[in-house]
Amino acid sequence: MKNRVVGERVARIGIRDKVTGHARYAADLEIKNALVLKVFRSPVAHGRVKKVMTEKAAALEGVAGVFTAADIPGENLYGIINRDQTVLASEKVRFVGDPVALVAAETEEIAEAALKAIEAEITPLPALFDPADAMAPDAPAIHEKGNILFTRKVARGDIEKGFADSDLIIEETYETRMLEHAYLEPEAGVAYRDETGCVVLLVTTQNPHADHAQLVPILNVAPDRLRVIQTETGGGFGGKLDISVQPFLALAAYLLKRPVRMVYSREESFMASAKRHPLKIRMKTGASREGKLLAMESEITADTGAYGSYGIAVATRSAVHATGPYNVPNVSVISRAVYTNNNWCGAMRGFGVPQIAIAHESQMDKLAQRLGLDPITFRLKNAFENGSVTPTGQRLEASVGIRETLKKIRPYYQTFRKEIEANPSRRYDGVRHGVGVASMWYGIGNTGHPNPSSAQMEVDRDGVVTLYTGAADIGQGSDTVLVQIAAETLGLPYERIRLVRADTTLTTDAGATSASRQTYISGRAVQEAALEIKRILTEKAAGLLKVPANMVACEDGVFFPQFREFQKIPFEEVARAGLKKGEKIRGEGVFNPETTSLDPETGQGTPYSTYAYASQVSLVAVDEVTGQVTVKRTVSAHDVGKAVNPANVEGQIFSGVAMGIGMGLFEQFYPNKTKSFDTYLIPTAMDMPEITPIIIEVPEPTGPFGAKGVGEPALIPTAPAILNAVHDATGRWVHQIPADLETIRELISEQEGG
Amino acid sequence: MSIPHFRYIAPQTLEEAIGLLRMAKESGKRARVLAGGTDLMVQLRAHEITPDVVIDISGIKRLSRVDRMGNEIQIGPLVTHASLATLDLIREYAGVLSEAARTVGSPQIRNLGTLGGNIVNASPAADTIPALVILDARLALRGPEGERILPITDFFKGPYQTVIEKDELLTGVIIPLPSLNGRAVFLKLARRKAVAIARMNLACMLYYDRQKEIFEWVRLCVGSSTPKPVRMTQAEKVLVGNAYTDDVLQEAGRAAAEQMVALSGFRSSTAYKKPVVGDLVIRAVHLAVEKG
Repeated sequence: MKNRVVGERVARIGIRDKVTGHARYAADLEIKNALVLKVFRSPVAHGRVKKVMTEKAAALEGVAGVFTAADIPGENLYGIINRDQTVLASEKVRFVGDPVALVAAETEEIAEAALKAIEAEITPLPALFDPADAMAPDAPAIHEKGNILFTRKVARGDIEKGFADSDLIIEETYETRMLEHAYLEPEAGVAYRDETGCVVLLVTTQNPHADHAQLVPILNVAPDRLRVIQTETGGGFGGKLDISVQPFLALAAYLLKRPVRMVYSREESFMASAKRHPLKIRMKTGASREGKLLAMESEITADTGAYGSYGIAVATRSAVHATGPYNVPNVSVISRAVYTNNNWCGAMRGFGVPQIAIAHESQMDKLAQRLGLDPITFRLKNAFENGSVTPTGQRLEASVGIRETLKKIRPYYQTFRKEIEANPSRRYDGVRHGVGVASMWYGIGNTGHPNPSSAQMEVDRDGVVTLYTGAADIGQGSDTVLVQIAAETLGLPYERIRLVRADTTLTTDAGATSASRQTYISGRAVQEAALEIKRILTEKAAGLLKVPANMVACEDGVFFPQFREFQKIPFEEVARAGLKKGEKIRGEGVFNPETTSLDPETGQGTPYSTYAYASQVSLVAVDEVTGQVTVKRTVSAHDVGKAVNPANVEGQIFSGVAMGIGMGLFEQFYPNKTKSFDTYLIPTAMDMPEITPIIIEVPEPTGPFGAKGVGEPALIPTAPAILNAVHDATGRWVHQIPADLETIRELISEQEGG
Repeated sequence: MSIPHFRYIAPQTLEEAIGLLRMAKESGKRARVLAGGTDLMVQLRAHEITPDVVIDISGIKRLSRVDRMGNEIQIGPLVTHASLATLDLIREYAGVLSEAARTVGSPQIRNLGTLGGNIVNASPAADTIPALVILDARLALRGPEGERILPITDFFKGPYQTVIEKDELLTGVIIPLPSLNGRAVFLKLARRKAVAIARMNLACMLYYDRQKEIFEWVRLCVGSSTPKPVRMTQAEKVLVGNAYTDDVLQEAGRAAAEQMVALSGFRSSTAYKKPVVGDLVIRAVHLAVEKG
């Protein structure tokens, strides 16, 4: 039977409100008599907190409260994977911006004045800004357990033999930069105590249930005394997975029993929020004369800054993805996340994979060039297929679309080549063109950890269908996709389904909106819940129609026996049949994709149950005078399993290309220097190329309607394809991002100088 | 972050505005003039300035006029970048200024930001200034004592420093109609294609006599590379009287680079800017000659 809702470009839920400016984000919420919260932050990168004097601030008229670590009722400790971060510094501060004291005041101006009146006695300690220094044996410890947060090893085959058998070995060191997420909406929220005394938070977030779980021990309250509701969220990209304003809002509302609000300025957001881990990657790759990859060895160092956040996930993901989507029989990777006194780094679209892809895709092009193969042919010789075994020993059984993505971009690659050859650079134009290819693979969901989602559906006597999901739609479109899956499963028009989402009191845990997992995992949970409803209603309809249940179908909200479509019963009639007043039909779905934990010594295991694949080709122009790289065309082919909403998938691809251009060409966050968008440059509409998205659907049997994910994959091949295109244009390899004006001009000059 | 408190006054006439500036000066109050606000609001929010009074001149209608008066065009300081980019009078007689204005910020900034603000803010990266320099623009300043007119190159003392008095207002930009045979080019180099501060910008106007095969005259100004805007006279000298050849162009590029370093000293950005300024001068001259 043909899908009627899944696969359609239905209009996004809530899109009219967003486009017309009516959508209400946390900062738009008006709340009467709310106090304004501000945080006093550490001015030093590393120090021991001796004394925090708040009396003068507290005495100011209009200040309702000034809090320090001593005021926290529960545990002053949080962290999404490893708990190492304090809400308010008690003993130590570890980066410039570490929170020390919290002010609640009647107005923003009073709150600012109170911050100025706080005096903190902090004894500076030696600060470390380079992971290499932090790993030195005599380095001062930033955390008690030492400066190496985590080490992940992946070992398979015989690495020595692999290199001994190789005819060609390429070794290089690559460096990526600390990056800011640059979501449109800075961190914001409001909180109050409801009539029962329950603390209610309305906050921008990627995971209300994880926020709740982290806040309960901080407040030391029963779980039902705290409720977190996700507000309309203006982007997250991983940066709203960690709690930010949440503990401050919860603490002040709880202790002062008054409504509170907190909105970060852009400067505070830059200073206080997580960043993308900068990675240093040494990679050595060996291949046979015939072009078969034989060995890959890599050492990866991630600067996680002052706190762990998602550092462990980044170290692991970069290690398990380090080969790229290629068969490599002999692999040895060691990946470390290291503490420094830089801004702390956490989750950001791709968890280390966009960084490692720069290394493996540069290596692929270098090998291809030396072997005399074009980049697509070389990749096809090595790309995964059904039955391939990954570096963690996982046998890929289904939905391996990498070869399809390469085949689909090939004609564009050839066209771009011909265009360049037909238009050689003219005198004084100073522009050289180049074409670059890059591929990627990306495991959907958390790495080697269970990451279940759950959903409920109910139908009442009026036939009103409600879907309950804990999944936070942060702008990526999960509301729409989940409703499409529910509607398709039930045979209902898309508009018929009411959605209740991301409220810890009304919905159950769906896990984070991260790791490109909501369509695949929460989508499947929703499908399971809908299937249960469908089973109940089908049996009821079979009874009413007096046919066996397997003869009953439902389309567009009407039940009918197959081959006797004239005998129709509307959905609501079936729903009502036999239901007493107040009774509802309920369905529940849970999905937890099959994973196993990775062996600590070898990394062997099943980190993910499925992977997304992509290949991209970019045409760039390099101005040899200014060093400016302009991306002219990008064609991006993504195997998403099934595009539940093709418009959403394309939106992700466009945004991934935009973000990748920033990563590859412009962006670099300097700790303690970069304050705002004044100096942190992200691409504008004018910097965007013409983008051709190509959707490839190699179904994933465990996914809803075959779907996987695309959120992070969309970004990953972009920067590597640009860097490979720059090489094609200039003959120079770029080993560090961003490929900015100075870097490219210097590379070209070196070449001209000899 | 909240912006500092100040008194806000919006005079409707020039005389009123200058009177307010004088009063502020005499009473020792810090006054700031608000036109489009695209620089001022940023400085206020960052608490870089804490004025006692902000005088909003955006309601003074006569300051947004553009007129042709004989052999000159007079541009009011409140004329926005968006207007400079689109007005026929400017495009016809000061096309290079239109081109420069078109590269400023974004549509939103161009709709608010004014020519006068761009000049008085005196950022070394201001996009309109190199264009005004090669157009031989003069500035009219009005104070309590009356008006004075000075060449634009005499207006700047250094980065963000000008000769304007506390009680003076920029009231007009006067551009002599350029000779008809000149060809002009504006180049902007920035890290991205919009909402970008110039890493370097360059305005060039010249006449190349194809019969005689010589540069008859050349005017060059490079922004964001010298402490205050100046003509690249050494490069101009290399070109004038010579033919359009590789050697001459290369020599002009070298001369521009040397003049830039002589004026700015060796800075961290010089390693990049020195070779690039030379090559950009070559590119601009080439493009201007190509125009016919």
